[in-house]
Amino acid sequence: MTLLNKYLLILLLYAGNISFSQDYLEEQFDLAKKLYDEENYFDAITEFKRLQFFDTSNVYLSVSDELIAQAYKNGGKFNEAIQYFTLAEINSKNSDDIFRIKIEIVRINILKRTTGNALRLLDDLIKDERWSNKKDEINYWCGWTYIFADEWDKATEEFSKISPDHELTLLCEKTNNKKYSVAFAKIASIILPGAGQFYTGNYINGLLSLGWCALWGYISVNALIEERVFDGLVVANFLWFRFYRGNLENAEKFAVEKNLQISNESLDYLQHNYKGTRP
Amino acid sequence: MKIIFLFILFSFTIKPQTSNLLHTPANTRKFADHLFSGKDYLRSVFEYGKLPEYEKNDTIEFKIPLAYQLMGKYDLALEKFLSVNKESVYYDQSVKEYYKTLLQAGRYNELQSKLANNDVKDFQRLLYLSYLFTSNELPAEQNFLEAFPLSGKESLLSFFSEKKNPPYKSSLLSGLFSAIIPGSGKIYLGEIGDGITAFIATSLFAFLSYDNFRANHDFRGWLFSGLGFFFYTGNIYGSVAAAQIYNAKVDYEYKEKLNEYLQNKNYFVPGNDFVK
Repeated sequence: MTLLNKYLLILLLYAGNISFSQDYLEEQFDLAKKLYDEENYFDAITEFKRLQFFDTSNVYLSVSDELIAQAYKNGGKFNEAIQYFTLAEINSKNSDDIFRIKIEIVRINILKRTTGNALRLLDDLIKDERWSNKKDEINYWCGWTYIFADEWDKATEEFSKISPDHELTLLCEKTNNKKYSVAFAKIASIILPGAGQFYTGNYINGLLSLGWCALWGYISVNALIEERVFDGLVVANFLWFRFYRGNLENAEKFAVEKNLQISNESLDYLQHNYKGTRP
Repeated sequence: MKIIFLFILFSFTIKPQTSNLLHTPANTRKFADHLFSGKDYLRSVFEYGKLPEYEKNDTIEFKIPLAYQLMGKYDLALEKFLSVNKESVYYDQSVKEYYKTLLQAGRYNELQSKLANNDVKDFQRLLYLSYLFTSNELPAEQNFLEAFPLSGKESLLSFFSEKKNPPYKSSLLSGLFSAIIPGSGKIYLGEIGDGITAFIATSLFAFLSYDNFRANHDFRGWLFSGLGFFFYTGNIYGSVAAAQIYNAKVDYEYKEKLNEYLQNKNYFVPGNDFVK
């Protein structure tokens, strides 16, 4: 064998070895990805973890971290998902990947309703010069954060930054307009017991509140007129005031409940009918 | 050239076998060990379960029930600890872990009946610890403390004393106090605000009833009497219920503290190197 042939043999051996190791890692990745695509998330995570364990050169580290995170997210394991997205972000090679992963973390925080965290992360993205061309996407997720925080007015504001005619701008505006004013319900009940309940459509409760307040108010005033001052004060304090205060709390509770119902109807629409990207 | 040709041919023939390379028994075992040390116990158990019999060893046979125990799947852990081979180097340790699991699973009576006549120190400790959870008669204080190392004696003495004389409140006394002076039963339980409120509410309704009867408002007099009586009886019932809730809280907090302490001390069972 000539010297050239010897080198050629060594080269082939080396190349064969590399291609062999790449092949089995690739096959393992395909297997894990197939399980992921079939929504068999538990097994997909196992196989991605196996890939990471044997992938000593970390070729698949970032992509597998991200897919593990997605699998955890789809399985409802949000904390684990954030942990793996964070690892994926650390191992990311370019700024587009980093941005995409940061948005994924925001989306999980939206789902977890950890609004503070989501807004803080989005604020960091807005301040970062690298993503100045992605303002619309950042605003989009700000809007979703406010939707999940039940702040439809702020959500409207965020979506309108993208476009005043955006489907979500219109939906959030409509939802916000449909909502009852909790403050108005309370003030109405302060002026006339039961009025706040009437405002929210709870007529029987409104009448009951009005009746109780009138009854104990009458007994209290009557006792005071008859100069049974202590009697009057005690009835006013412990009975009339108790029902008056209950009436205020009731008015507030009904307004909050109605608003929750309106929010849920909108969320239900978003879940089943909205075609765009959701958290 | 022949050699080169043969090599290329060989490398082509080897390719179809690559898909299973990471799933060979040896690699599966390595991966399972990695998952176990990463505290992903459920996946590690599945991986160990895939291993053929010839690849399994004493360590794996011991790690499987241990993983179940660490996941809180006590019934499976007990079953698997029992199946550890007597020839295994981990057999003694698995027996200890078996009894520790019985304690963790809250199967105290079973543990007590199985270890009643066992004089080995490690088992005696688990037996004595089980008495801290049950209403069965406690062992003598000196015997109890002797079984444990010096570092744990002080805390265990405190748990022992609390078990022996729990700081319960009598529901009978609480109800009786409230029957004599409304609200006093609640004050006896430490709920001073509730006690004062109950006293004021009952007294006021009694006064309002008296005042209305005096002013010849019979209907209002009866109305306030009824409300006063409702508050009075409600307060007695509330005081009895509050005493029971208080005692349940004492029990709950005692068990929480004890469980936390024992978990930190690994139930006074020697730890395993591969669980860290």
